[in-house]
Amino acid sequence: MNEFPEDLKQVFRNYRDAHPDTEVSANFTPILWRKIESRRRMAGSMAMLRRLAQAFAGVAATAAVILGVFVIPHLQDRAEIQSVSYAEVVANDDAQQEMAKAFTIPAAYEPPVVLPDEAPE
Amino acid sequence: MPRQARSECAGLRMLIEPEVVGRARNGDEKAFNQIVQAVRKPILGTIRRLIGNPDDVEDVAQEVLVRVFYSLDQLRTDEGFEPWLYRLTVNAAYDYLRKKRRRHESRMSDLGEEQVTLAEAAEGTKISADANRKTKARELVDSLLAGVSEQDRVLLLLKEVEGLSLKELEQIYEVKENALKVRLFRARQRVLKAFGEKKGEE
Repeated sequence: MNEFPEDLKQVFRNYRDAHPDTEVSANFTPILWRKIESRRRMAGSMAMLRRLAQAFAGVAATAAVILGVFVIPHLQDRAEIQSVSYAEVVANDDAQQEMAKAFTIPAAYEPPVVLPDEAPE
Repeated sequence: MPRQARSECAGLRMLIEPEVVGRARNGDEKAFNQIVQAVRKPILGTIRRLIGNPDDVEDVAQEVLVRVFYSLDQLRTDEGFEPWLYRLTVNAAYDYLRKKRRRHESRMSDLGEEQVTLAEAAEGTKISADANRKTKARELVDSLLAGVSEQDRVLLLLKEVEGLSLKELEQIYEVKENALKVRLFRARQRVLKAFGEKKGEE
Protein backbone atom coordinates (compact mmCIF):
# COMPACT_ATOMS: atom_id res chain seq x y z
CA MET A 1 0.00 0.00 0.00
CA ASN A 2 1.82 3.10 -1.22
CA GLU A 3 -1.04 5.54 -0.94
CA PHE A 4 -4.02 6.19 1.31
CA PRO A 5 -7.50 5.77 -0.20
CA GLU A 6 -9.01 9.00 -1.50
CA ASP A 7 -11.33 9.61 1.49
CA LEU A 8 -8.41 9.37 3.93
CA LYS A 9 -6.28 11.63 1.72
CA GLN A 10 -9.09 14.15 1.95
CA VAL A 11 -9.00 13.93 5.76
CA PHE A 12 -5.33 14.93 5.69
CA ARG A 13 -6.00 17.70 3.19
CA ASN A 14 -8.68 19.07 5.53
CA TYR A 15 -6.16 18.94 8.36
CA ARG A 16 -3.73 20.96 6.22
CA ASP A 17 -6.45 23.53 5.48
CA ALA A 18 -7.26 23.74 9.19
CA HIS A 19 -3.63 24.63 9.93
CA PRO A 20 -2.55 27.28 7.44
CA ASP A 21 0.85 28.94 7.85
CA THR A 22 0.28 31.22 10.81
CA GLU A 23 1.34 34.83 11.07
CA VAL A 24 4.46 35.46 13.08
CA SER A 25 4.11 37.56 16.22
CA ALA A 26 5.88 40.94 16.25
CA ASN A 27 8.38 39.93 18.93
CA PHE A 28 9.32 36.57 17.40
CA THR A 29 12.69 37.77 16.07
CA PRO A 30 13.66 39.88 19.14
CA ILE A 31 12.91 36.91 21.42
CA LEU A 32 14.89 34.64 19.08
CA TRP A 33 17.93 36.94 19.34
CA ARG A 34 17.56 37.10 23.12
CA LYS A 35 17.63 33.29 23.20
CA ILE A 36 20.68 33.22 20.94
CA GLU A 37 22.46 35.77 23.17
CA SER A 38 21.56 33.94 26.37
CA ARG A 39 22.85 30.65 24.85
CA ARG A 40 26.02 32.49 23.81
CA ARG A 41 26.49 33.87 27.35
CA MET A 42 25.89 30.41 28.77
CA ALA A 43 28.44 28.97 26.36
CA GLY A 44 30.88 31.73 27.43
CA SER A 45 30.31 30.91 31.12
CA MET A 46 30.79 27.24 30.40
CA ALA A 47 34.03 27.99 28.58
CA MET A 48 35.26 30.08 31.50
CA LEU A 49 34.25 27.32 33.91
CA ARG A 50 36.13 24.83 31.75
CA ARG A 51 39.24 27.06 31.79
CA LEU A 52 38.97 27.42 35.57
CA ALA A 53 38.60 23.67 35.94
CA GLN A 54 41.66 23.13 33.74
CA ALA A 55 43.68 25.65 35.77
CA PHE A 56 42.54 23.98 38.99
CA ALA A 57 43.52 20.58 37.60
CA GLY A 58 46.97 21.98 36.69
CA VAL A 59 47.48 23.39 40.19
CA ALA A 60 46.31 20.11 41.71
CA ALA A 61 48.74 18.14 39.53
CA THR A 62 51.63 20.44 40.50
CA ALA A 63 50.71 20.13 44.17
CA ALA A 64 50.60 16.36 43.80
CA VAL A 65 54.11 16.35 42.29
CA ILE A 66 55.46 18.59 45.08
CA LEU A 67 53.87 16.34 47.68
CA GLY A 68 55.30 13.30 45.96
CA VAL A 69 58.84 14.66 45.78
CA PHE A 70 59.28 16.53 49.07
CA VAL A 71 56.64 15.70 51.62
CA ILE A 72 55.97 11.99 51.19
CA PRO A 73 59.61 10.81 51.73
CA HIS A 74 59.72 12.84 54.94
CA LEU A 75 56.46 11.32 56.11
CA GLN A 76 57.73 7.86 55.23
CA ASP A 77 60.73 8.37 57.58
CA ARG A 78 58.40 9.31 60.37
CA ALA A 79 56.21 6.38 59.53
CA GLU A 80 59.17 4.03 59.94
CA ILE A 81 59.81 5.40 63.46
CA GLN A 82 56.15 5.09 64.32
CA SER A 83 55.87 1.63 62.92
CA VAL A 84 58.02 0.16 65.79
CA SER A 85 55.80 -1.26 68.54
CA TYR A 86 56.04 -0.26 72.21
CA ALA A 87 57.31 -3.72 73.24
CA GLU A 88 60.02 -3.50 70.58
CA VAL A 89 61.04 -0.06 71.81
CA VAL A 90 61.24 -1.31 75.45
CA ALA A 91 63.12 -4.48 74.49
CA ASN A 92 65.48 -2.49 72.35
CA ASP A 93 65.99 -0.03 75.16
CA ASP A 94 66.69 -2.86 77.66
CA ALA A 95 69.20 -4.43 75.34
CA GLN A 96 70.91 -1.11 74.86
CA GLN A 97 71.07 -0.57 78.59
CA GLU A 98 72.54 -4.05 79.15
CA MET A 99 75.12 -3.43 76.49
CA ALA A 100 75.96 -0.07 78.01
CA LYS A 101 76.37 -1.63 81.44
CA ALA A 102 78.75 -4.23 80.09
CA PHE A 103 81.05 -1.68 78.57
CA THR A 104 80.79 1.16 81.05
CA ILE A 105 83.22 1.61 83.94
CA PRO A 106 81.26 2.89 86.94
CA ALA A 107 82.36 6.36 88.06
CA ALA A 108 83.06 5.06 91.61
CA TYR A 109 85.13 2.14 90.44
CA GLU A 110 88.23 1.46 92.46
CA PRO A 111 90.61 -1.24 91.44
CA PRO A 112 90.94 -4.02 94.08
CA VAL A 113 93.79 -3.37 96.51
CA VAL A 114 96.32 -6.13 96.52
CA LEU A 115 98.06 -6.44 99.91
CA PRO A 116 101.68 -7.57 100.05
CA ASP A 117 101.01 -10.66 102.19
CA GLU A 118 98.34 -11.65 99.89
CA ALA A 119 100.61 -11.26 97.02
CA PRO A 120 101.21 -14.48 95.26
CA GLU A 121 104.40 -16.00 95.90
CA MET B 1 19.20 34.19 -11.82
CA PRO B 2 20.96 32.89 -8.73
CA ARG B 3 20.76 29.24 -7.87
CA GLN B 4 18.40 28.55 -5.05
CA ALA B 5 18.72 26.09 -2.22
CA ARG B 6 15.39 24.49 -3.02
CA SER B 7 16.50 23.18 -6.38
CA GLU B 8 16.18 19.53 -5.33
CA CYS B 9 13.37 20.06 -2.87
CA ALA B 10 10.30 21.18 -4.74
CA GLY B 11 8.12 20.51 -1.71
CA LEU B 12 10.12 22.75 0.55
CA ARG B 13 8.78 26.21 0.06
CA MET B 14 11.51 28.37 1.53
CA LEU B 15 13.47 30.28 -1.07
CA ILE B 16 16.94 30.94 0.22
CA GLU B 17 19.91 31.66 -1.96
CA PRO B 18 22.92 29.46 -1.15
CA GLU B 19 25.04 32.59 -1.15
CA VAL B 20 23.04 33.93 1.84
CA VAL B 21 23.46 30.60 3.61
CA GLY B 22 27.19 30.78 2.92
CA ARG B 23 27.44 34.27 4.43
CA ALA B 24 25.46 33.17 7.49
CA ARG B 25 27.81 30.20 7.89
CA ASN B 26 30.69 32.65 8.00
CA GLY B 27 29.08 34.46 10.93
CA ASP B 28 27.24 37.25 9.05
CA GLU B 29 24.32 38.02 11.37
CA LYS B 30 22.52 40.08 8.72
CA ALA B 31 22.50 37.03 6.46
CA PHE B 32 21.18 34.93 9.33
CA ASN B 33 18.42 37.50 9.84
CA GLN B 34 17.56 37.21 6.15
CA ILE B 35 17.23 33.45 6.60
CA VAL B 36 15.01 33.96 9.65
CA GLN B 37 12.75 36.31 7.70
CA ALA B 38 12.46 33.81 4.86
CA VAL B 39 11.86 30.65 6.88
CA ARG B 40 10.00 31.68 10.00
CA LYS B 41 6.49 31.61 8.55
CA PRO B 42 6.68 28.22 6.79
CA ILE B 43 8.59 26.77 9.74
CA LEU B 44 5.87 27.94 12.12
CA GLY B 45 3.21 26.39 9.90
CA THR B 46 5.03 23.07 9.70
CA ILE B 47 5.63 22.96 13.44
CA ARG B 48 2.00 23.89 14.10
CA ARG B 49 0.90 20.91 12.00
CA LEU B 50 3.47 18.56 13.50
CA ILE B 51 2.95 19.27 17.19
CA GLY B 52 -0.67 20.35 17.12
CA ASN B 53 -0.39 22.73 20.07
CA PRO B 54 -0.63 26.39 18.97
CA ASP B 55 0.66 27.74 22.30
CA ASP B 56 4.13 26.27 21.95
CA VAL B 57 4.67 26.75 18.21
CA GLU B 58 6.79 29.92 18.47
CA ASP B 59 8.92 28.42 21.26
CA VAL B 60 9.69 25.33 19.18
CA ALA B 61 10.37 27.43 16.06
CA GLN B 62 12.78 29.64 18.03
CA GLU B 63 14.52 26.54 19.35
CA VAL B 64 14.94 25.33 15.75
CA LEU B 65 16.43 28.66 14.69
CA VAL B 66 18.76 28.79 17.70
CA ARG B 67 19.99 25.33 16.68
CA VAL B 68 20.40 26.58 13.11
CA PHE B 69 22.46 29.54 14.35
CA TYR B 70 24.80 27.38 16.41
CA SER B 71 25.09 24.46 13.98
CA LEU B 72 25.45 26.23 10.64
CA ASP B 73 29.11 25.22 10.54
CA GLN B 74 28.02 21.56 10.49
CA LEU B 75 26.11 22.07 7.23
CA ARG B 76 28.01 20.26 4.49
CA THR B 77 26.89 22.36 1.52
CA ASP B 78 24.97 25.60 1.20
CA GLU B 79 22.58 23.88 -1.22
CA GLY B 80 21.67 21.29 1.43
CA PHE B 81 20.26 23.95 3.74
CA GLU B 82 16.55 23.26 3.37
CA PRO B 83 16.52 19.48 3.98
CA TRP B 84 18.86 20.16 6.88
CA LEU B 85 16.49 22.81 8.24
CA TYR B 86 13.60 20.35 7.93
CA ARG B 87 15.69 17.76 9.79
CA LEU B 88 16.28 20.21 12.66
CA THR B 89 12.57 21.05 12.64
CA VAL B 90 11.58 17.38 12.74
CA ASN B 91 14.04 16.74 15.60
CA ALA B 92 12.73 19.71 17.57
CA ALA B 93 9.17 18.44 17.03
CA TYR B 94 10.20 14.95 18.29
CA ASP B 95 11.84 16.51 21.33
CA TYR B 96 8.74 18.54 22.05
CA LEU B 97 6.41 15.55 21.65
CA ARG B 98 8.66 13.35 23.82
CA LYS B 99 8.79 15.95 26.59
CA LYS B 100 5.07 16.39 26.32
CA ARG B 101 4.49 12.68 26.68
CA ARG B 102 6.85 12.61 29.67
CA ARG B 103 4.83 15.36 31.32
CA HIS B 104 1.72 13.23 30.77
CA GLU B 105 0.09 15.93 28.75
CA SER B 106 -1.73 13.76 26.30
CA ARG B 107 -3.03 15.11 23.07
CA MET B 108 -6.53 14.32 24.26
CA SER B 109 -6.19 16.81 27.12
CA ASP B 110 -5.22 19.50 24.61
CA LEU B 111 -8.24 18.67 22.55
CA GLY B 112 -10.23 18.88 25.75
CA GLU B 113 -8.98 22.43 26.24
CA GLU B 114 -9.97 23.33 22.71
CA GLN B 115 -13.38 21.81 23.26
CA VAL B 116 -13.77 23.76 26.49
CA THR B 117 -12.84 26.97 24.66
CA LEU B 118 -15.33 26.16 21.95
CA ALA B 119 -18.03 25.37 24.50
CA GLU B 120 -17.38 28.67 26.28
CA ALA B 121 -17.50 30.52 23.00
CA ALA B 122 -20.73 28.77 22.09
CA GLU B 123 -22.42 30.14 25.17
CA GLY B 124 -22.03 33.75 24.12
CA THR B 125 -21.53 33.75 20.41
CA LYS B 126 -22.34 31.60 17.49
CA ILE B 127 -19.42 29.46 16.39
CA SER B 128 -18.70 29.83 12.74
CA ALA B 129 -19.19 26.76 10.63
CA ASP B 130 -15.63 27.15 9.39
CA ALA B 131 -14.11 27.00 12.90
CA ASN B 132 -16.22 23.95 13.65
CA ARG B 133 -15.06 22.21 10.49
CA LYS B 134 -11.41 22.95 11.28
CA THR B 135 -11.76 21.63 14.81
CA LYS B 136 -13.34 18.44 13.50
CA ALA B 137 -10.56 17.98 10.94
CA ARG B 138 -7.94 18.41 13.69
CA GLU B 139 -9.72 16.03 16.03
CA LEU B 140 -10.10 13.38 13.37
CA VAL B 141 -6.44 13.38 12.33
CA ASP B 142 -5.29 13.55 15.95
CA SER B 143 -7.41 10.53 16.83
CA LEU B 144 -6.17 8.61 13.76
CA LEU B 145 -2.54 9.37 14.62
CA ALA B 146 -2.99 8.57 18.31
CA GLY B 147 -2.08 4.94 17.62
CA VAL B 148 1.29 5.60 15.98
CA SER B 149 4.61 6.67 17.52
CA GLU B 150 5.75 10.30 17.50
CA GLN B 151 8.25 9.44 14.76
CA ASP B 152 5.59 7.89 12.56
CA ARG B 153 3.21 10.75 13.27
CA VAL B 154 5.81 13.24 12.07
CA LEU B 155 6.70 11.10 9.05
CA LEU B 156 3.06 10.72 7.99
CA LEU B 157 2.37 14.42 8.44
CA LEU B 158 5.42 15.35 6.39
CA LYS B 159 4.25 13.02 3.64
CA GLU B 160 0.49 13.49 3.68
CA VAL B 161 0.09 17.05 4.98
CA GLU B 162 3.31 18.83 4.03
CA GLY B 163 3.28 16.98 0.73
CA LEU B 164 6.95 16.05 0.70
CA SER B 165 8.07 13.46 -1.81
CA LEU B 166 9.98 10.29 -0.93
CA LYS B 167 13.08 11.87 -2.44
CA GLU B 168 12.76 14.85 -0.11
CA LEU B 169 12.07 12.62 2.88
CA GLU B 170 15.17 10.63 1.96
CA GLN B 171 17.24 13.83 2.17
CA ILE B 172 15.68 14.85 5.47
CA TYR B 173 15.95 11.48 7.21
CA GLU B 174 19.16 10.43 5.45
CA VAL B 175 17.89 6.89 4.98
CA LYS B 176 17.31 4.74 1.90
CA GLU B 177 14.01 5.05 0.06
CA ASN B 178 13.13 1.41 0.76
CA ALA B 179 13.47 1.85 4.52
CA LEU B 180 11.18 4.86 4.32
CA LYS B 181 8.65 2.96 2.25
CA VAL B 182 8.54 0.14 4.81
CA ARG B 183 8.08 2.57 7.67
CA LEU B 184 5.40 4.52 5.82
CA PHE B 185 3.63 1.29 4.92
CA ARG B 186 3.43 0.17 8.56
CA ALA B 187 2.31 3.60 9.77
CA ARG B 188 -0.32 3.80 7.03
CA GLN B 189 -1.61 0.33 7.96
CA ARG B 190 -2.23 1.47 11.53
CA VAL B 191 -3.91 4.70 10.46
CA LEU B 192 -6.04 2.88 7.90
CA LYS B 193 -7.16 0.41 10.55
CA ALA B 194 -8.08 3.26 12.92
CA PHE B 195 -9.92 4.99 10.05
CA GLY B 196 -11.89 1.81 9.33
CA GLU B 197 -12.87 1.55 12.97
CA LYS B 198 -13.97 5.20 13.00
CA LYS B 199 -16.11 4.67 9.93
CA GLY B 200 -17.55 1.54 11.54
CA GLU B 201 -18.55 3.56 14.61
CA GLU B 202 -20.36 6.09 12.43
